[in-house]
Amino acid sequence: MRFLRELAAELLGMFVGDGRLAMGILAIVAAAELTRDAGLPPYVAGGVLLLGSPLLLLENVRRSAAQSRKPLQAPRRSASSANPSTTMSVAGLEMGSGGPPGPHSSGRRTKAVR
Amino acid sequence: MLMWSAAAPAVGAAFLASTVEVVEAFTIVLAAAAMRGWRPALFGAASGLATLAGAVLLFGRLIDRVPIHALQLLIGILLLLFGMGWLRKAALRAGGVIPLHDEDTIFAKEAVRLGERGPRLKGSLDLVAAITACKAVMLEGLEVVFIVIAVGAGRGLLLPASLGALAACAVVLMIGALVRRPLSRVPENTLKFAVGVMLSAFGVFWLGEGLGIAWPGGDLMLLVSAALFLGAGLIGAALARETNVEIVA
Repeated sequence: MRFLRELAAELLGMFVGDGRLAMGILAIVAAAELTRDAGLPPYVAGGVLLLGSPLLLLENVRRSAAQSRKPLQAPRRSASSANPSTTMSVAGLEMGSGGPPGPHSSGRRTKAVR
Repeated sequence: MLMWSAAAPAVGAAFLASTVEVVEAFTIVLAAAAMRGWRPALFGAASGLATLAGAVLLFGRLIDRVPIHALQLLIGILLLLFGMGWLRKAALRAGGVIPLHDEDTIFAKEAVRLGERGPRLKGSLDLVAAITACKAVMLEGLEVVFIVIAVGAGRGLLLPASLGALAACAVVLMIGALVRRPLSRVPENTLKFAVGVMLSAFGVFWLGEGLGIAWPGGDLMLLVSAALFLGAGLIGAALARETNVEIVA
């Protein structure tokens, strides 16, 4: 039973990791559908989807980052370490083990970021 | 005849996403094997794979009966939910707001958890290890199945997408068999970022087609959509990093 509960939770979590983002996506889909129903040209609905989704993502990331408030430590780096990162990095997407500790690096999580 | 220009994004998305998921499942199965033995871990992993295969056969037949526009609409919404979720997390991880996924830490935690479950009985199958491995393979495998169906079903690309996923499994398992330790050097966040961009772009594309929009340029609009999501993700990561630095300072 616990196994099935965990499975169901995992399935839900696959699509709804952040409630605000999920609601925003559904709102954009509804808006695109409404523009179509209102008889506007199809490219209006296309524009709503094409521009609305990336903008929603940007707003959500910015908001989540701003809401993650927690006591923090300044980054500690060894002066002798010429190359502090031990993880491969592409366009700065991997911070590596030598990067500054994030606000959640002590294991606690806020409600803002799940 | 299969157009590889159309199939390449689906195969690429399936390959990269499956790489991430198989690495995660491999870590848990390896921990189960290291702590409780290979026999129950492999039995559990095989059980998980068999359950997944059954689900694919069942849902594969159901998908054929769904009208194409309804399927594109449904898959488009699910892809946007899934892809943008991955992209959001990857951007926040890149910005240092949430910690990076660390296979070594996950392996250590899982090993401790399995070690606490008491000694296994000699001669009997260790159910703790089998269930742990089965669950890991099923949960991560479900995501692979969803991604393969999502990027492949809308255009009859299920077979190429499945081949992309299988290739990822083969590559990860071969490397895993050679090194026999968690694959912590895989740039997981970069992969998740790339997959998030691709799945989100597919989501917008399918949604549009489901709503009856004739995209100008056809499949090329996938690239435009991907570029917009990539830009949003990178700017989002930079903003998150900036916020993080401000808080630290």
